Amino acid sequence: MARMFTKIGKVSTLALIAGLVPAGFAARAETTSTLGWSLGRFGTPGLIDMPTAEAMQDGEIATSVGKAAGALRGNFAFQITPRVTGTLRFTHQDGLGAGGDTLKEKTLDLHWQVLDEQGWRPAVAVGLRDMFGTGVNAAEYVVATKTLTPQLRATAGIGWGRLGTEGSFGGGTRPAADPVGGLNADTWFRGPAAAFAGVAWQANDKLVLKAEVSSDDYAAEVAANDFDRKTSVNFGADYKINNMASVSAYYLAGSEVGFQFNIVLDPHQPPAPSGLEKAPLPVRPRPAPSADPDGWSGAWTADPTAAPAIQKAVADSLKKDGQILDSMQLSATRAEVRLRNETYNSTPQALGHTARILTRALPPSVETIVITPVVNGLPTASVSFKRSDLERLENTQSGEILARTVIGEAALDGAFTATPGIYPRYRFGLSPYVEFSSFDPGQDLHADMGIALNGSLDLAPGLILSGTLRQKVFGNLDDQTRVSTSPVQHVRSDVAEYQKNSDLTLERLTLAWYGRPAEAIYSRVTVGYLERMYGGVSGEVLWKPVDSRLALGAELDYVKQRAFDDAFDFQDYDTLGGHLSAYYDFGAGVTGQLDVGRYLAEDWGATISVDRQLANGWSVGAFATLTDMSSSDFGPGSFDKGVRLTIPLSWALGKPTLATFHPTIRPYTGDGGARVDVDGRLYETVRDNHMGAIYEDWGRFWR
Amino acid sequence: MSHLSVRGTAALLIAALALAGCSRDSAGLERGAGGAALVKNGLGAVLPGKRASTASAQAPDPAQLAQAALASVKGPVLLATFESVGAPTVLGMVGENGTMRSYQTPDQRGVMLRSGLLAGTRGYGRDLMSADTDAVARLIRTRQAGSAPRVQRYLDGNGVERPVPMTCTVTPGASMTQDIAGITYTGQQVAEHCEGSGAVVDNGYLVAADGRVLVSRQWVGPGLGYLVLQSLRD
Repeated sequence: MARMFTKIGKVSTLALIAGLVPAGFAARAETTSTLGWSLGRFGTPGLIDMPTAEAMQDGEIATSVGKAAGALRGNFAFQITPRVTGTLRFTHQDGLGAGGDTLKEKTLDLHWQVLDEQGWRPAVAVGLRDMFGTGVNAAEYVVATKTLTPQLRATAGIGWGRLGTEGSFGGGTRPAADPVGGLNADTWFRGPAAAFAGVAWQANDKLVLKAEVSSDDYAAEVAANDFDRKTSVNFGADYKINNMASVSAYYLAGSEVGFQFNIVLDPHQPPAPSGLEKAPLPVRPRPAPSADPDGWSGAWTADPTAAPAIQKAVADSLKKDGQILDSMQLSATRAEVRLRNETYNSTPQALGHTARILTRALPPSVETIVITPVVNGLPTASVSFKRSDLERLENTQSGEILARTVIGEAALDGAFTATPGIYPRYRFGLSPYVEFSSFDPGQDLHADMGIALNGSLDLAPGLILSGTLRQKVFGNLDDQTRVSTSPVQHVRSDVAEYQKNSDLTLERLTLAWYGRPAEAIYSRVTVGYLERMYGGVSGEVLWKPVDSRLALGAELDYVKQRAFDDAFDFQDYDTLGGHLSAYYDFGAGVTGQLDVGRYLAEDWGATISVDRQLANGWSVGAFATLTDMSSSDFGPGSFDKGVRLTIPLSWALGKPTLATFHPTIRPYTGDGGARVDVDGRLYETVRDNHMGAIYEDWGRFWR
Repeated sequence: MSHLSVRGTAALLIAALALAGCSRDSAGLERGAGGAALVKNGLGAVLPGKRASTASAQAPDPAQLAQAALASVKGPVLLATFESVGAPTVLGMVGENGTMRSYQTPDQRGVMLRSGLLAGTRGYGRDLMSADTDAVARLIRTRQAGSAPRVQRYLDGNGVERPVPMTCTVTPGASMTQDIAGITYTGQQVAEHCEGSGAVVDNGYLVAADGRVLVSRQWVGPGLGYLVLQSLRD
């Protein structure tokens, strides 16, 4: 139900290897040290150039940009689990590229804290720097870090590759890395090794000072651009500006000065955990039976004007609350409403507001209140309350009312009265967008910024016409020089051709029809310009009982490739593809998905993905697709893989909004394992209103 | 990234703020409020290093505010002041459910009291979600010395309700008559000292002979600190 705000789509990136993610996400015990971890020059917890065995807080995201010694680095580090840190890095390094050109690299690091610090035992970590790249900056390490006093922490370790070049011992020759990239596993921990060490000292609340003895000889920099390595000792200082931002300064090798700017976000620590949105309306308890005998007896049902008046009152009150009363069914003892939550990230919060509004509007004889959230016309669940429970338990521990709430399948039919005047409903809005070029090796990163016009027209329940039109304001995507040399059908690798013609673009224009043919069965048919590169028809069926961890789906797509520069025209290539999918909710917000089928280039294979969603809306996931397309046909990286993020704007703003920012990042955009990008697939549409997600976020019921 | 000019980014941000208000919905939902206003109000209040704008506003005179509130608001009225902010705000009662009363400010932030003791807040960012205070409330309202448990609950960053259990000692104090914001209150002072879960809390109450809490200073939570509540009209 997350609504798209700005899509940095089509960017594509790095696989975080699903197999390395250990099960269980229990928070680690807090150490007593006042010295927090700090970022090094590689954008991960570290000293200066040397790593430490520290880890960030689970789920934390550190973004940093730094320049020193002819190298500009942008780093994006994410604490995938309490022990595993993944880092994506963009590097521009003078003179280190082929033939003395600037080296342009996108690299991935993985850092695994094998042991955390406990008692006398230091923390121990193993890491890989640049695990997929061409090897100039590749290094591996084993490192230990120990807190000596609450203000002082020492680190020592052994490095290979680039970290094994100064004062090295043993190891023989390191095998050459594959110049095309790929997983250079045969070079890891091979060749000469060297020792490094350093300390970090918390001088005061704001300042951390660091020093290290580096095992990096900077041979490439010395040869390429007059880097003067006078000493192995590097110095650094971190100054904390506030809880999120810090700046770092470095003095490297006795000759070079560097700077870095860091921003660290902790999804678990939003600025306003309970939100800044308005207080809800309170429950209105019913009057004594003697005060309203007609209301209690149900005699009011004889009045034909009563039900429409009640429905209007509920609809008006919900509208002020940012929700829409789709339809309503009312009897003397029971009320059922179909509700469109257009505001709250948290379904329980939307349910809680609606339940309280109903206690204020319904006659006293109504004891059973049933709320059915509706998304894209699909009734997803029926949540029933006893009105006396709502009256008795208002503003108590949220678990109390949960224990008395029944969540079941939504009714298939029933005598619902539609709220007058809600169909057709149109919406449109302008929003900014940013689009990046693909992150392919050896290419500059280009980007456009502009304005997107999003519109939708709900013609009837579940029948939605929607589209997105984009106008570029400025940018340089049209300066891209990349030309796809893919030997197979260019189903994705021509992305640059589309981006070069991106002045005014019809991004999407579709008619979608959602249905619920049986209990726990949902269906979707989408026709039109499905995405920037494809148009056609996409049909989908999903089986997902409201209380089931498992869901199964099937999708069939007939699509034709769109023209590069014409909003409505097509190219010659058309294809029929489809997938069978299984989804599993592992609990704690972790969802796994397996898709098996035929992809856009008519290659057969499977995609495995794991996503972790926090109740506050943050989500991070990784996916990998293996198909029968050969790795040489695919190109660098051998197969399709990437990470995807969802950042809810409500987290940063403290105000409820369904808008999210959700980039997908791939290290290389190839033609294998590509799927058409249809908006509003069923699982993501339905999931947030099913039992698992409702339970996760129930703490907001009385919010 | 060097290709993106800083000036351009700033221009886009400004455009984004301007654009966020440009939306229409035939169903009449205030999506515009989810845009520019939201960014302006929301970010200012929550970004680190920024002071809440309310703090810098000229604090109105409590006595004048109280008189204006009594004249314009019907029914029970509270005057509430967060100690960390300093500026008093007026809350009118919007609902009553048994011993619980819900009050809201004109901009629809909420404070809930159960038997005069804080039962929750809404819309302040680090709200008290719920509180179990029945046992301490009995001691406080009857102005008896004694010890009783109290639990306060907060949402953590993942939306999970976390309890903070405490044990409280209630100590009755002197009877007094005091003039606050132009209103004269007569009652007995009651002190409540709570400890537990790492929190140390000192609440104070002025309780009328019939057990009503007239004026109080109560701890909302780790994020919001103490709230001073004064009943202008019961």
